[in-house]
Amino acid sequence: MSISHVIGLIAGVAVGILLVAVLLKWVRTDKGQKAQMDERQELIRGRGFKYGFFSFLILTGLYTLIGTIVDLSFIVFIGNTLILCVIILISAGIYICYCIKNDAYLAINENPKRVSIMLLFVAAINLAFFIFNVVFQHGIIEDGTLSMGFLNLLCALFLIVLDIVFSVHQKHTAAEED
Amino acid sequence: MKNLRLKSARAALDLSQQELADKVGVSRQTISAIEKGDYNPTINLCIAICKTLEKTLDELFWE
Repeated sequence: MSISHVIGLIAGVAVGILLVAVLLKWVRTDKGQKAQMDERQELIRGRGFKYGFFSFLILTGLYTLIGTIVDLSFIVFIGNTLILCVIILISAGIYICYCIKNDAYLAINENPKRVSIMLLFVAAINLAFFIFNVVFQHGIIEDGTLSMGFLNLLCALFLIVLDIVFSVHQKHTAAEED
Repeated sequence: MKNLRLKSARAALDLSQQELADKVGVSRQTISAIEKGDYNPTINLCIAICKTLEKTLDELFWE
């Protein structure tokens, strides 16, 4: 990796962190920096984290085990890094969906509409990066494997699905209010 | 087990679940879960709810 690549990577990460900080402040209804969760939400998040973590362990174990038994040469097309990223997305998805289902995803001081917009905004950024990669950079296939730009597409789809789950649950919760 | 005493104490003060949640500093869903009996609050939360509804712990939470 050349120096310019490293500098570009560091700059990209820095911009990403700044963007996340701005977005997280924007979704809060008060000027607080921290998301305020009540005791029940903390409990649910702890359980959700446990399920997500064990899902990650099981999926990674299964992938390793299957790799020793079955010839996974077709995986070369997909790439180990991409598969591991998919495992991370699935595990994170399990954690987040559990939190959403048990009303522990949205903090007390967060605006649900802004959270939904934030998810869609980040999905749109990922989609834009994917399209940029495909059209102007390496294309969808790089050196015989799916390029890492494909991960941007997966992240975009992941965030869109999360937003749908979140929005549907919010509508359902609003209907329950007395 | 449902906590109907909490629900009726809340209704007596004409408070919605959201209003009680805001006063106590929790989410509306937590108040709903306590009233349905799906969640057992900590003693600190019980005390905060009792102070807001002007009731004692025995009156709201003792079986």
